[in-house]
Amino acid sequence: MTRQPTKAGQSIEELFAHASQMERTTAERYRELADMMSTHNNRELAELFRRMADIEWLHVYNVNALCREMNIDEPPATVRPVGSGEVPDFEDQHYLHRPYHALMLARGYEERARDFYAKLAADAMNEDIRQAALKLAAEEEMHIGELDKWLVRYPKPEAGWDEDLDPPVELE
Amino acid sequence: MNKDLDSAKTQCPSSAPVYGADDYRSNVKPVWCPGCGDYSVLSAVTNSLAQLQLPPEKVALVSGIGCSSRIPAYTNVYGFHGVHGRALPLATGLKLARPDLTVLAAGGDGDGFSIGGNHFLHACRRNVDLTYIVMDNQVYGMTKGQASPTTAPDWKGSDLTPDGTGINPFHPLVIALAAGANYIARCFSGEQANLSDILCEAILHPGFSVVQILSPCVTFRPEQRQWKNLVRMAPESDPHDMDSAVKRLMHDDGMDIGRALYKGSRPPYRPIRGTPGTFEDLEKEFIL
Repeated sequence: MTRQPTKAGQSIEELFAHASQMERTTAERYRELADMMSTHNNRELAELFRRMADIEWLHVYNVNALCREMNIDEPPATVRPVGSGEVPDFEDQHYLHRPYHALMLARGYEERARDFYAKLAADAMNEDIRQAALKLAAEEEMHIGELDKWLVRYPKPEAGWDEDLDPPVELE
Repeated sequence: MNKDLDSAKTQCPSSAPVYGADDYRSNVKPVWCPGCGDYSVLSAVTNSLAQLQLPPEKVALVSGIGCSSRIPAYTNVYGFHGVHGRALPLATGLKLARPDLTVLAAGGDGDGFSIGGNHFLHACRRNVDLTYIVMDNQVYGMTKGQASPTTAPDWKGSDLTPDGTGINPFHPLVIALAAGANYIARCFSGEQANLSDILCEAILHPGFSVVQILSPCVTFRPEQRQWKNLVRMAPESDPHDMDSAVKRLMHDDGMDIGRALYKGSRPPYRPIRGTPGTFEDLEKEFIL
């Protein structure tokens, strides 16, 4: 199934509401992933996910700042979930993942979000929406750049990273 | 009562909510394996309750036994972690005694279709106004990886069935349709926005609703990580037409998701005598 974010709607207010909600959901999701990794004693990844949650809250702030810059009311938090897009998937996680894996997954989510806004800009009939979508795409591109800087510090683990010396074996 | 997704969305407020998804979450942290689809299901359940703005004290979540049946502990609504395979009779009793509550039953494929299989049939037949959420991973995860009723016959991942089970899997939605369920849908845990919308629709639909959720067990069925590449949106069709629902369900490969596959119009079962007015009245019925 092609995993695309939910359509952001037609108006500029709806576009920013979508962007804000996507960043909020992502921040909350990283907090949940941090709890998940804490429970499974992967402390390194738990700490990384907590930092990523904090950074995502900064992204919510940035979206709101962009709203102010464009004289648009800041979107309120909503209860409607957004589609896949930038939001990390629970199903992508592994209890033995290293920071490299988490950062590579995060990079993929940011790419999806960037491509989504870029397509929205390309398809936009309204100049204001086109400009806003381009700015949001540029934001996502910047996030990709930041992740690339982090990735330099976390090279790809060698094969066997998922070998568990105390695996969840069958009891039969 | 509205019966289609658009109507459900209209009923789901998108601004100024009283309850957010977090209001339905408890402080207990899930212990499911990282990568398990049940995390997404928990998130979708709380999102759908927030979309519907149901007061937490007006919702009850009843489960059986198994990994997915841990879900009531992670929510802030009334919860009942019941006996293996008995989520549906418990939920039925609760709904009949407290029709004012929105009652959800949840569990896995082993709990619901093996030891609870008989209850599943009769819950469909009775058509009490419940929503049954089945997290189907085609394996017994909590007992560490044995074949379940929905496991394919050639799955050789367990030492108990080294050559596969050799028997046809249970088709829960075909059975649900034949037994009289009033709302039938299949979803994938990884498509959360869609799953939340379908759960809203299932909750709003009167009668017994069954939502089968393909929820990967990445520990004992790691190949299920590929499900996200295999699932597809079910083709559009009239969900009110039982004949086409039968054809669709009999011939699909289990990977069509995201739409109601059947919506019936049978009125939900309600007790003829009504329910006792007070707790004391109820107690009297049990005095020998």
